[in-house]
Amino acid sequence: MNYYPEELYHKTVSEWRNMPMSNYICPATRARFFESESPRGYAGLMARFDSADERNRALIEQRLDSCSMCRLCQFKALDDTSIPDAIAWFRRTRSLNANSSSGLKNSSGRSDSLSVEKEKIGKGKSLLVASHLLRDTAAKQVAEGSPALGTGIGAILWTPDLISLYRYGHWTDLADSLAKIQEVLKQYPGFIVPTSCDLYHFAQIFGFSDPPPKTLWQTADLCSGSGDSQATGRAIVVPAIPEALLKEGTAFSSFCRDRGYEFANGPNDAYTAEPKYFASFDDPLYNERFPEVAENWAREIGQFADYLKADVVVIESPTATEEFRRITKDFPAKSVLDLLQPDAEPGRQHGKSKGKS
Amino acid sequence: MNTLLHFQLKKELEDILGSEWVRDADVDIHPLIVDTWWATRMLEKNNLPLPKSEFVVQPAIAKEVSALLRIAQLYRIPIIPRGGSASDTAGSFALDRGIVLDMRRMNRVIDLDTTSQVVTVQAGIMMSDLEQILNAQGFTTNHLPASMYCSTVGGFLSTRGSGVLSSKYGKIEDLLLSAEVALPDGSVLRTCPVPRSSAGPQLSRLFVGAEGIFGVFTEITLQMFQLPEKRAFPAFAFKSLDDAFTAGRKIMTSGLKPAVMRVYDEADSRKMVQPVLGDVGTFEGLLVLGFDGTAEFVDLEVKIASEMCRSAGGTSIGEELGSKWWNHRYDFYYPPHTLESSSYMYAVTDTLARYREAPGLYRDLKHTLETKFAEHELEFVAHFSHWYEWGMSIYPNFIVRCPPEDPYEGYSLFIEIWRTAVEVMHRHNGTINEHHGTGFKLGRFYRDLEPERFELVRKVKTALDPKNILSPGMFGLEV
Repeated sequence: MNYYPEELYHKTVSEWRNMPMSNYICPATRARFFESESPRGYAGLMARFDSADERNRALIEQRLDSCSMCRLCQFKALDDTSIPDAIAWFRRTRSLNANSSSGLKNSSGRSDSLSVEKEKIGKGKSLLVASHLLRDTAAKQVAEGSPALGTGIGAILWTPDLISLYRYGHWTDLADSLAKIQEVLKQYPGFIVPTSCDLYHFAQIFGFSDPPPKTLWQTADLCSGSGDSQATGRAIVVPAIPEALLKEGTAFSSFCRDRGYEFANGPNDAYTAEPKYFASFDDPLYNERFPEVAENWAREIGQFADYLKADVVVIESPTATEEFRRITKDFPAKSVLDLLQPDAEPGRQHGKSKGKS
Repeated sequence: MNTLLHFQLKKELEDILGSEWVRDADVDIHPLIVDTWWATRMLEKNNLPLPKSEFVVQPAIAKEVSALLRIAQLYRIPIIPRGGSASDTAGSFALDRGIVLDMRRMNRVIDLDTTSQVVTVQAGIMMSDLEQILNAQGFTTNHLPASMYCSTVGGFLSTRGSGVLSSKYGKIEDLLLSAEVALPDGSVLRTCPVPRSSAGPQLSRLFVGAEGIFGVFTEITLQMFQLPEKRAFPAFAFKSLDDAFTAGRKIMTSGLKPAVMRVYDEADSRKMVQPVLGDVGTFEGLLVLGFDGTAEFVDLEVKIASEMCRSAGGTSIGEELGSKWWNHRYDFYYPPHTLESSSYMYAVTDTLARYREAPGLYRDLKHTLETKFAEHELEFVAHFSHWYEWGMSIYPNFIVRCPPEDPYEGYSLFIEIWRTAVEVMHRHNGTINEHHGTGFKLGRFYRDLEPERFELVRKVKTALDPKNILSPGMFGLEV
């Protein structure tokens, strides 16, 4: 649990408990309006857990389950997943499932068994790890904008089920699923699109712990299996550019200067691999409230992808994807992948693509 | 309530709503026991018992609300209507026992009359959801407070909510055309379909600002507007707060219609505005104006208002700051900027007075609170955000960063600060509150300082709700 500072958990619970605005960003709350199944309610229940009796602890677990099993906020590509992340942390630190009546297993002391030999992950090939967010959000938008698909690119759909298996300690099933993924990973090249929240779980599942990655960039490198994703030519897109790359004298800085690229949101080498604390709200006012963030972030991804000569870029936020599609008119040979149909022949997805590039 | 009665009542509630919409488990009740009032948060953090309701129920239609009220009468159990629970007055949870009536399932748009620019909604619709629906059709209510994301239309009407465009479009009650209300005995009243009728009193007004004690809004018809072609936000700096007041007053009484009129005192600029908008400079008075409408008209209004500001001693600081304020206007109320997410003792002591008295009220309030509670290092910051043709609101925050650790000492200090504040307000013909409601928190001051009005409210309450079923304890009434 090195990735999630305890202070962050307490801060989240403390702030969200008393902030009515917090409920707005939860799609499930907006659909059902149960206070005990809302971010504000979850914060209250977590705060109450230690003083609750056994019966109420079990009920609190059930309510928290409804958050952990939902992750609708991620499907909606919200930036703020503070409470779901805090619940995940809370669950693991409290070993909630140990006494759960739903037959879930205790997660304590088992994380070592989940470690995967890093060299087996996509060795010698590019690796594509896709957030499950993409299934319902960016996939369609990105696919529809595709003029052509890159060759030899495959996809792993990082399903919510897998995340849930991890969260709930179904280690056997998780190991089986990971084994299947291993096989697939060996076959396909690709790239990584990290998301702050899932990357945290990704790192947990794959057992990166020596030393633990501190930034998305580090984790991306670890996930690529090489330690130097840029050198291998693998297309790894991260939402923030490491500060070191932007320093004067680097190839990247020269590249940027030549093309007039700017990184308004970066440099940000400290973009953490932990679940982030970012109180923003993905709603129709998002563009109005944070237009510069959405636009600059999308532009930076495009610029960085250009530098990496990435074949494919996938973005998980609908807002950013929209911006990206507009901006990528300036970037040549960008392909997209339909993660809804990962096995479909490249170039024929959604009936929009024109064929292999 | 004994188990037999509890079971029987639960079964009756489930027969009305279905079992999915009736909850009585401790884990479902517990999240309802606090609102944003500092005192409830303080009690919970100290693991002190807070009042709990027996049930939380979620009706979908007015008929169900009506049936629930009839059952409550039979069991003599309180019903507390609850919108988004953004209240800071203990107005949205059971003070002793009762059934919390969560209205948020009643969230449908019933009729969108684009010809008349009128919309009819169920009372539990979240304001932000309504705005999204209207915006997609090219309309808006222009009721845009930060709490629109966590408050229902019925909740706003019950507390007389006010939004950032209130100086032109008024408060929520100014948008109200008619309403359907479930009365305490379960009967349903539908008020006159349009206002301005001379056939009797305007009954819809009886329920506006009543915080649910006379009835439960079930359906509401509001005026709406076309989305503006242009918005502009000029800003001006003043060497003195009085100069800023003068400029604001002259604009508001000139016939101009600024949608936004916002003055910040120096402390508020420094402590509240700067963390959100960055370094805005150091001014004794900062005035942000906003105009909306057709481009030609907006440009003309900006020109005239700017001349008035300059003649009052203001210096233009352009539109960038104002635009930035508009784009970030809600950030003030979200972490990490909102005081609600802090551990400080604080409250908004908003009030309203005529132009003749308002500046003196502000100075007296600031001086009195800072002096009397100096040992607690009370901080006082204020802005002036809702302006009318005859007066303006004062929106002060008091902040005590290190309140007493003992819960009762803290509570007592909080009440003393409030008592001092409302006495100053009263002395200057100010109101106890402007747009956050009275609830339980300020009820005793309403009872003490406005006895004639309190007595009439009590009589109406007794006539409509003799068993005191609906929201007991508000306005200093019987708990």
